[in-house]
Amino acid sequence: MFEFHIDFQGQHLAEQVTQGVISFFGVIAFLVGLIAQDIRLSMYIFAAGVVVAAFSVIPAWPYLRKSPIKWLPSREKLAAAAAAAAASKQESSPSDLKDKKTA
Amino acid sequence: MNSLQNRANAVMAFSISAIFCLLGAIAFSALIIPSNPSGAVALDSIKVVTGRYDRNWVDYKTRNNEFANTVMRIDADLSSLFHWNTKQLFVYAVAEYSTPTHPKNQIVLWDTIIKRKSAAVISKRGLNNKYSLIDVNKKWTDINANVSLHWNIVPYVGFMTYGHSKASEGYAFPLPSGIQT
Repeated sequence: MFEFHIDFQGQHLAEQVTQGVISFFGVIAFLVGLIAQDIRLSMYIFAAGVVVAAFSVIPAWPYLRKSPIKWLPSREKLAAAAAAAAASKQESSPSDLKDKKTA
Repeated sequence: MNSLQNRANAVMAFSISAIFCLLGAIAFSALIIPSNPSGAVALDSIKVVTGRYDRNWVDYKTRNNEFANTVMRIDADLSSLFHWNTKQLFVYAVAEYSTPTHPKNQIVLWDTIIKRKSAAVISKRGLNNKYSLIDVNKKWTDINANVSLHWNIVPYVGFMTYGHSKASEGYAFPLPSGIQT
């Protein structure tokens, strides 16, 4: 399925990209409009900036999901792993288990 | 910014803030763009007639209000007022005079709206006044009025600005010479 969520680094980057792109296009829109003496051109350039910013951060692009959070394993999994270890302990030698734990 | 809606909201919210800054910059830039408009109004003739102030009055007998009918000549070049924040110009000719009871009177004689730079050069002859030239005192005796061309820049965004040409010489109003039909 589609992924809509991004990680923490991605959220910081998305905010910077949004503000940077829109501000940059705003400044360009003002300067071009002032030189061309055309307010309509200015508005179109600004609108293009909003579209570019929206396109670059609203979808959860891979560049916003580069550093996903590495969670600790859940308690259930730990318990299952311990149970499996206990089961294998009865079959294998105690020295084997010791090696596994220290490893 | 973690969810799709949240990012869409952030983009839209920041774009609203940014466009207000852009519009503010446009509004202030319009104030410092230089222009050199010129304009002049002259009256070729003035005729004063008497009539009723209001046609809807039930009193049909008292035609004692004096109307001044003028023929105007207007020359203006307002094309330099069209910059990137000019939506249209409202141009109006104003007669200004003083009477003992009212020191400053201004009456609009004629007006027009200019929407394009190509239409901003005005050269009109034989214009009659669009609006009645009547004084609050009803009489035009001993009046010496000058006329000037005023303009109002209507912006797309920002401040309404006004300007006017130099006033013409004073015109003396003649005695009534007829009855307005």
